[in-house]
Amino acid sequence: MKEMLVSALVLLCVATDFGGLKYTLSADIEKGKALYQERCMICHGPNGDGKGQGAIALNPKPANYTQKKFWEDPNIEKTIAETIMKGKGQMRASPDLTPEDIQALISYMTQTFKPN
Amino acid sequence: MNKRALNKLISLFSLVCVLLISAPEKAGAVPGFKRQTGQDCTACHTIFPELTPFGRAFKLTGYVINKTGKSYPSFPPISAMAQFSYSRTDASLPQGSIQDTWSTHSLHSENDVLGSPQQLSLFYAGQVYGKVGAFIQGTYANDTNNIFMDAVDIRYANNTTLWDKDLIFGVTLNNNPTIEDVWNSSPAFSFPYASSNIAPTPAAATLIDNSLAAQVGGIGLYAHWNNMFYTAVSVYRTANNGITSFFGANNTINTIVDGAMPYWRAAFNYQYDVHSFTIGTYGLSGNVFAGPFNNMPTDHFTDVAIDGQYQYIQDRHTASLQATWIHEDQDRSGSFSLGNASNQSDSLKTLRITGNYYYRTELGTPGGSVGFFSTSGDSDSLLYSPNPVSGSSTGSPDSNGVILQLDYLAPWQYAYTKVSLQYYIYNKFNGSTTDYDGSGRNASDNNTLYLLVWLAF
Repeated sequence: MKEMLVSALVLLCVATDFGGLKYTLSADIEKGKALYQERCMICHGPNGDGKGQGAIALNPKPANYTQKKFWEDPNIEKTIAETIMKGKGQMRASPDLTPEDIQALISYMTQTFKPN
Repeated sequence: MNKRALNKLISLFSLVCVLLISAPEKAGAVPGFKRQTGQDCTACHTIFPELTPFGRAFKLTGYVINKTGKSYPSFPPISAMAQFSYSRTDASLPQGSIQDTWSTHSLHSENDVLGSPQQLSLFYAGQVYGKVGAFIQGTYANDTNNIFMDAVDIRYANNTTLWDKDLIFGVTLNNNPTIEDVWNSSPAFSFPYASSNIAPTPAAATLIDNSLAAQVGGIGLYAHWNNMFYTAVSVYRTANNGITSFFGANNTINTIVDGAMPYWRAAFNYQYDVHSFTIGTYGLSGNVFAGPFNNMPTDHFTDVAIDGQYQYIQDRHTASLQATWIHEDQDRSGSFSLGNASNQSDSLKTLRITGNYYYRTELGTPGGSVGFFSTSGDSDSLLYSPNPVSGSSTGSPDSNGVILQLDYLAPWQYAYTKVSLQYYIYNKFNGSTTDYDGSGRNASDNNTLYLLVWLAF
């Protein structure tokens, strides 16, 4: 009886809230990926290593998201968000992006480039 | 102002309003580049057409940087540009100087001239295929009232590493010495980027100072190493005939180069964070026919120039400084033998210094420029002879003055439109401050107020 209750609960979770959460996360990642490819990839590269086509004439080079060092800052997400909104060095600001857009971008970058 | 002139003014204003309203969202300086890269126009330009370090990289790599990473553009990178202008010289020009056409309207007798439009351009600007890209501009201009090839720069570029540092190298086919360059201190893309085309201009200019624009076609090689050292060499021939005629299509070729004319460029560039600094040299050497036909004797010109640029590009504040000095040696033996020059040899020197500042806000980018210009050289009473407005009573080519300009760039989220108010102030014109032409015209009579609305689609 107990096993049946647990199974029913799991099914319920998957079918409702947890499934929705998964869907939302997936949509965010897709949105973040699209934004990254549209706005960031040219300099930061398709692999997030800072070796995009436009990086060749920039000094300092664009940030390398595949390095552990980049993610060591405990406030890195806040730093990324501020950099997107205000710009930094040769990187132009993107004031037209919403907080949701920026969160989606950070989610994509974290999931795709952050080393384990 | 009479009723006819008022109607013209209202029509022009309405046309500008319609264009402003219909300007596509997020258009760019050359919007094809923006659509291809996905980048805000400010990634490539401080205020167009001045290039940022990223803009220089985009040009050096052959206009092919593409957000899709594909070998071809998603759709043909076609863009357009329209310029509408109002010009007023301090003293009217002589009767018959300005011809009214559908795009040129003189509101008062030989003054207060509307260019409606002054210029319309269509561009192929972006990737062609793979590592080949192009910037090709065809233009209608109201002063000539025809359509012609304006600017051409077709490139193949690649990159590798040399001594562990990035090396960009490429080939360019183009129609103006210095158009291949990526700094705004050399003539092809230097301040002022637009000015009145009805106002008188000084009689003397060095050959490399845009005198060969769309008059020649050429091929060149360039390399940029470690984002620091740049060098380029090209060779040009006349666009009057043969395989290079495409580069001057529908232009009047009145400066005919004899044979091959070599051009060189070398520059040192240092860019770090928001600062970039460049110093360099450029020049050319070659023969030009001393008249409008290629069976005439020739003159020989050697131009040597130095230039420099500093840019400070922060998110809000942008400041830049450009300067160039050009020295030209002229062997005028061809013109002398034809009786068109009084000296066998002459020289010209040009100095230009420009400072720019812009402040970027959510409501647009206001700013402005101050430019000093000076051309001086040997007096030659036949080359620079007395003539109403365009001549010189003293035979001197000396002209100098100041350009003041205010700009406003609309917020790029809505439309990429630049509005400029420019005032050209001459201290000396063709050798003198007063009665410079021998017909009683003063240098200050050519001071010009110029209002420009520059739209890109």
